[in-house]
Amino acid sequence: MSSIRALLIEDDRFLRKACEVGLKKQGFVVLTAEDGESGIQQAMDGSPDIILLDMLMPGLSGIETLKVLKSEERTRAIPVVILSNSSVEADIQKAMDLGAAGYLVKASLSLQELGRHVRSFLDKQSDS
Amino acid sequence: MANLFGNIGDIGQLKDSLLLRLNRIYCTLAVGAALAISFELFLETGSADSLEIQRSRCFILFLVIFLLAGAFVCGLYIARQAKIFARKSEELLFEAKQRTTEIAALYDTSQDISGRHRLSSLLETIVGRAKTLLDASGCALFLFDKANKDFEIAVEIGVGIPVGSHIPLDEGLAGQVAKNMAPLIVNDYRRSPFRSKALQQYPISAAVCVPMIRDGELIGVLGVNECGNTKRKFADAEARLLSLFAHNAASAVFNARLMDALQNSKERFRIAAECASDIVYDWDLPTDSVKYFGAVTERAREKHSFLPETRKEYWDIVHPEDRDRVRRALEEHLKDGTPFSVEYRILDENGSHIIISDRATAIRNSRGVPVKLIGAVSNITERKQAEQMKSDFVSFVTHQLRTPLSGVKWMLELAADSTNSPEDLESFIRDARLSTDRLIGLVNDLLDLSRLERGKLQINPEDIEMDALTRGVIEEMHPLLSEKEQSLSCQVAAHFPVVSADAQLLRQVILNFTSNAMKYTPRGGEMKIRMHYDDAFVYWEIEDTGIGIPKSDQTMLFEKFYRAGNAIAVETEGTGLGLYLIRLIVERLGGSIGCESREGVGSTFKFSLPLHGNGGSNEQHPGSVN
Repeated sequence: MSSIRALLIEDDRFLRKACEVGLKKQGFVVLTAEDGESGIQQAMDGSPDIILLDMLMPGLSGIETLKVLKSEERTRAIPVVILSNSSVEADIQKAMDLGAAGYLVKASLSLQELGRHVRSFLDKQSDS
Repeated sequence: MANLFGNIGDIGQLKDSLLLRLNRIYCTLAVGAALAISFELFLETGSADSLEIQRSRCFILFLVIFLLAGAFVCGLYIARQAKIFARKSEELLFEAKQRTTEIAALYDTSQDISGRHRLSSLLETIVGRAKTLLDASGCALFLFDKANKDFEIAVEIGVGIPVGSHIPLDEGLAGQVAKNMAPLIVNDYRRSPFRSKALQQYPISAAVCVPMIRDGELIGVLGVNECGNTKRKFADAEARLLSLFAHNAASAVFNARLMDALQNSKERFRIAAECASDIVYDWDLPTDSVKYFGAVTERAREKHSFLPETRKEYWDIVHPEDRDRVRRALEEHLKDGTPFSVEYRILDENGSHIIISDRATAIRNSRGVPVKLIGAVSNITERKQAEQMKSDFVSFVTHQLRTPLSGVKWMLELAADSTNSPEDLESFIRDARLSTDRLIGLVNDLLDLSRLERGKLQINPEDIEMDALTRGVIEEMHPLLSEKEQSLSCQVAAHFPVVSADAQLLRQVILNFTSNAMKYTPRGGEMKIRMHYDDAFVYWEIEDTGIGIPKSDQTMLFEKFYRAGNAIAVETEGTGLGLYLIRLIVERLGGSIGCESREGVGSTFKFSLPLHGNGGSNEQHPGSVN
């Protein structure tokens, strides 16, 4: 089984580091970006299987980044799971409307659970 | 009225009586027979009559005398009857005259009463007229108080009974009258068992009390009294007259009360409308016309604000997205009385939207059909904005607190893995601790923010050397600077003065500006801190070569604006609550804050502080940019 390539776009360095280490421990290959712009670049170049996207970031916001990812041909097909700590209904709805594959709240998940969710998202992808 | 004449009968009746007729016939016959016989006797006397003829003539003579005697007796009887009837007819005439006078007085009085609409003048008129009607020494009106279930002495004349005092329902003449709902005459008041305790000190000798009833309901009791030692006794006829009068008076009192209540209600409405901060409206549904009331209406009219005059004009200014909802709510209210209280947007005269709160009630006719809609409208735009800001703030803070918490949680999860190398373990634990620190810092910032907003933040001023403080911060940022390969230089004017300020707060400001600059400057970029001063202020600024800030966002930079779109206001590193908090701190320290920026080139964030710290003023002064 080839390992899953996950791209993590997260501006908080602690979260970024923890997530990276945690997912690597679960057998993922992890690419990281600290803002939207470099995240888009990595998505285009690094051919990730799944993108984990934070919502609140300086510069290009999560929503903006999502819009670009879904409009770019090279990245359109990659499932994007929102990893956020905001649970505002309106934001969740907006993200789902823009084509996000799912929405996870970081504070309610352990790294193990996060890994499992990522796998299940991809399984769903391959089923559909 | 006929009853007042009793059972006396009719003179006419007597005239036609059989007795009289018979008597007349009898007398005529008797006199005629007597004359005939006498004539015959005189003609026949002088001849040598036989004894028989003389005997028969004596007999006839006796008959004549008997007939004449009979006629005389009948005449006497008739005369006597005539005298009786003459007397009776005189009495009747007298009574008729009395009644006419009384009716005239009653009519007069009723006219007087019906002309008085205000309760107080009406009550006075009633007792005055009642007293005159019965020609008595005094009169008192006891109004029935439904709430307290007693009588209030509303008005009186002639005795001196205290007006305004209350008498319990079971006491006195008034109580008896109320119980029986019938008039009561007491001609020896002092010895009467119904005498009221409250009134026993007054020299009332006789009284007649009648109930004032309207539509079966007791309005009050009217009591006419005689004072002093007169031997006056009130008669049934007078009680009857007073009752008639009281009946009219009751109606008049009832109507006057209604008028009073209406007047009060109108007055109250007027005052309420004047005081309300709303526009009060009155839609007449059948004619589709509207009237507006209230102080706000006047102001709106002065400003020539648009006030819709018809239903159609009204719907035109309601926001299209809200029209259906408002329409439905209105229909429901008109149909079954569901309370109408809606918030929706309307266009104001500038073409922008304001949010209003509209509460209304329909007035229905006797068939339950709504004919009027009375309501009040108030502008709640500010309130809604405040609510939205509060809600935004809560979401923002929730997010901000969760971020370091997730950091701690994940770091500890990693640390718990037994396969960690000692270095890894150490690094995870260190990061967890740093996250915890950040969390604590955030909570402290929240507290500061709350205190600053309420004007309650504690300032501990001390003498600070700002260049030393700045260099300390740069030192702290060193690891991060080298990681991002950024350079940060600091230029300080010579003889930089010492500033009196709160060290902790000032450090917070410098740290925030610095870490911001670092965040928005690309890898390998350059940042410059400059500090200079003049007579009154010190100036601190940091210039970066980052992405810059669009003009449109610059105005919102230091505002309390936490919408997800404004990423600049979001702090993930550093001290957490963004530029709004920094601005509040700087202003609290007596300074001002500003920013210059060009997109694609970079930004300069700056603040200034007064040389002689004043512990907090919000004056604007040179050096600030808005």
